[in-house]
Amino acid sequence: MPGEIDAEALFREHHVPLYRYLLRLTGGDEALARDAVQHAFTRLLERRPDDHKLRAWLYRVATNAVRDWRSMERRREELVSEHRNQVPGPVPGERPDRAAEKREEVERVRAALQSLSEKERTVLLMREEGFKHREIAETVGTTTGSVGTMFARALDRLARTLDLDRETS
Amino acid sequence: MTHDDHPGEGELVRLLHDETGDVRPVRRHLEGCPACRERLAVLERRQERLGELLASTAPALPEPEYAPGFLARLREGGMATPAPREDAGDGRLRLPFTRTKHLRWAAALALLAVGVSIAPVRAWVGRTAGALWTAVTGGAPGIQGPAPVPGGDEPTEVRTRLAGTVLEIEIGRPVALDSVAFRKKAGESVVARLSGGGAEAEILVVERGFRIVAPESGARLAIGVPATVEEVVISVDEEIRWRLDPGARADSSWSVALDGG
Repeated sequence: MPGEIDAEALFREHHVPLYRYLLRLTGGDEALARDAVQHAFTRLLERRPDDHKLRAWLYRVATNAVRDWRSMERRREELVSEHRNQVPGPVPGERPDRAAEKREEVERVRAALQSLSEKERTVLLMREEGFKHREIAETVGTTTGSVGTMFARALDRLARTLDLDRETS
Repeated sequence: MTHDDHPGEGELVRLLHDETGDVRPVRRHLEGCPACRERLAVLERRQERLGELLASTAPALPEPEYAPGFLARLREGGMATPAPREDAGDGRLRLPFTRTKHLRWAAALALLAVGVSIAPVRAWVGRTAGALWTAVTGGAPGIQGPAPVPGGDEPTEVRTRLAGTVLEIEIGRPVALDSVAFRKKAGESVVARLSGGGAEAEILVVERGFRIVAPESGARLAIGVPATVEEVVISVDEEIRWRLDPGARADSSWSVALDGG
């Protein structure tokens, strides 16, 4: 029942990591990420999943919301582009050249993630958040056994675009 | 798994991630296969390197501005109380405008739609919407969203299929249309496009309500539609303009009629 949910505690515990995940998933679309977070918690108030599934459920609902909304937004590209340059600002005292390097790095990672398919990106980012393959599979709509393959494929692509093998070669 | 039967990348990833399942054959294979051990090591190094990159480029996360207002609504129990209903005399249940949250947001929607480019109206929308929506997500002052779908005692799952089509309405002028009916699946289409006065906004139907996007300002507004409402009336200047009737039956479509202004 909705009244049994300590929604505030759940919100405080989960909304920042979920927001960060969604920011990465959407390529920095802050408005979309915020909307998806609130959508997930609104749904939570109405229909609470089992405790042990709660975190995965929130991520799944938010991920699906992003996918659904994006598929509708004809102007998505324009809207997203407005946010693309909203990378973290310089830390006080940070050297300007270091700040510039950081901005470039952020943009490089963002672009690399966006070059993946939506499913691959979701698999990779949800795994980064510590989810099990079963939970990831439920979100992207695939089999548990396929998650590992999708993860490896996504990692292989990023290895090229982000030069992940640089330090080992 | 024989020595020559190398595991696939997916199996190696499952091993790397400590996934449940029988990984003993893979482990046995790895003991005798330097090539696969190296593949596993590469996967692990790439994963670690990616984790480092993501950590070092994590977006700055100040407390998102929606959080305080959203939490306030949660403390208040959301917008849970169903509004009293009145029989309008024609067999349909109506919700009086001044006594229901449902219709207040509907009025705010209409005012936003009609007055997005007009400062006084926009300000009014901001004040009115303050009680319902909290997060400013774009550059336009006074446009706020999204609202949680009212919950409460009654089921709130939206089973109706929202309807939509493209409708041209000029902002800043009274709506002057006879009637328009929409029938499209939820999540598929634009329900209305508002244009004129140098500004433009789009209303998108989503599964549980509407989203308004004003591309020029980047403003977005999400409006939850309660499943329990039998009728939504959108008023402009206290004059009823639009009626949204989701239908009494589950799985029915929205039919939208615009009364002439």
